Amino acid sequence: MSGLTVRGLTVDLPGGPRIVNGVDLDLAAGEVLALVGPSGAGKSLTVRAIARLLPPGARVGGTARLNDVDLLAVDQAGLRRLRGTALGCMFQNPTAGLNPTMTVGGHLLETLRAHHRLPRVELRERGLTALAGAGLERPAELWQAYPFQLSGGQAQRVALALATACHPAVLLADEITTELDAVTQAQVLDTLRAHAAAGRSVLLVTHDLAVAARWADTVAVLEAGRVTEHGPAAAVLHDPQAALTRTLLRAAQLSSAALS
Amino acid sequence: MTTERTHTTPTPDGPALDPGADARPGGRPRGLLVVRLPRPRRPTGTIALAVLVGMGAIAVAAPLLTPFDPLATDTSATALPPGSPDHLLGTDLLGRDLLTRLLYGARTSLLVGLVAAAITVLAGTVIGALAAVGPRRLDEAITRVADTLLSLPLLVVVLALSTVAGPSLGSVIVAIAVTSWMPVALVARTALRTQRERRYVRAARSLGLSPAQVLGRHLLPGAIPPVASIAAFEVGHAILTESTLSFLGLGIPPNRPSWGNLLTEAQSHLLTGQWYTVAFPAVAIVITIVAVNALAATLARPESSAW
Repeated sequence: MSGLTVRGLTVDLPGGPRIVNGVDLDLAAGEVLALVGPSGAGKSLTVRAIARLLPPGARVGGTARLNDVDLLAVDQAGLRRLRGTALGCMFQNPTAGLNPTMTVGGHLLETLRAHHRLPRVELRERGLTALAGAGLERPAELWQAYPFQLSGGQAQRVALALATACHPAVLLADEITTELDAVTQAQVLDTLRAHAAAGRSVLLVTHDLAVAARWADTVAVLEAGRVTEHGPAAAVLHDPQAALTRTLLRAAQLSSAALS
Repeated sequence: MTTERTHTTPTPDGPALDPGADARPGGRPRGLLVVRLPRPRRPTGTIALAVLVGMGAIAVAAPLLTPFDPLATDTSATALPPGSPDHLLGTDLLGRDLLTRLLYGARTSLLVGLVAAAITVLAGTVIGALAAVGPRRLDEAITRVADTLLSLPLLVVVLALSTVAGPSLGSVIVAIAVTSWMPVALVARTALRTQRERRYVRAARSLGLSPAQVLGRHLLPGAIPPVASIAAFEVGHAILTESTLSFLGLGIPPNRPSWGNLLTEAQSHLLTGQWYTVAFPAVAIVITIVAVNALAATLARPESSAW
């Protein structure tokens, strides 16, 4: 699997200022890169711009190369083929990210059917494998469940199963543990880490420095639409160079001792 | 105030922290997975539906319910009042049985109402979907055309279309559909645009689903309640328009009984005191429209669109 290279990413929302202002990111295969920063820094917009999921009228500049394909320049048909198979996405509030009128199995079958022409039995097998790979026990029982019957942790794991069902090389995870309790958060992030160990690149957007410290290999600190610090997690968080990183660490009350 | 710390060992049914134990559906009775239809709080919708189903059944079974031909005249039994032997609702000036004509008229009027409303709703939803998910220019074009047609007096447009196409069942249905799709399209467009901003629609797009999959599985189901409620109103509107056109002589040809045609023929009877020739088709139309509108209002209630 190959990684993701973002160069000079800019996002202008209609009628507003430039929110993302020249972001550069390097995400190697099997790496977890935490994109941290305060609210309004442009973290989510960066992810949505890479996935081409911005609201209508937003203008995007720069490049985001994945497997030698510029995600920002590829046509709609090509983009649809890449979504799910090369680039997976997960978002905050997983229950709202699942269609309330469809079962878990329905979601998986639909996603797999969008990319593979296979018999239903085989699609179901792949779906069950994806659920198991997302850390869900008894996937066959969950197959018929509707989103309202899932806990927050289960819903986020189903979202992970959907995002990884077609084996994308890169996974974009935008604040995926914000609404989860600490224990479920750790379990979901451990599963994500296992996916990275298998070679998948993960761009993890979080405002929680403790999450970045424990689960990320590298950290990029975003401030007002620019990356102010980018490097190995241990180096950035133990010896912060940017003022914002120090401020964030002070606010989170994370000392070097706590981090280690 | 106590300073003593307490600790309780979680029971198997207590809060679960391991992923296996928090698998809620597995721990719940299977019965909870069954989708249960909401029961209406007020019986209005149920009664309205029963009335409409009953009317439809009577219309379909008309040949079994009456021995008379709706077009056959009988000079020995003209202008009989309601309650006459063999003629429950009486006869008209040509001796045709009014109950028979009312039952056969229901066939035509309900058929026009359902078919015209079905075409209207289908066309309106497709046009509204094109506006909602298509290019911005297409959206603007559709919206402007709909706004323009809505600003015209529709009865005049329907009259013009019926005059050009000539009176027939098909021309009435087409005329109603051509002039009625706009509210459906605008409601469908708004509902679909609202759905488009939902997180699960964005998630579906991020998974590489085709536009048809996103539209069919994620956008349309959420747009059904508002479209369904306006669809019910369209049935009533179509029945009324058919009656109006037939009353004006531009709708269903006179050789086919419809409630509108019965009213047209009854105009002359009013002067000779046969009030019932007007009353029965008028009551049939009123009951149908009230039932259709009651059903539409039930569908439009917020709890009907809970998701």
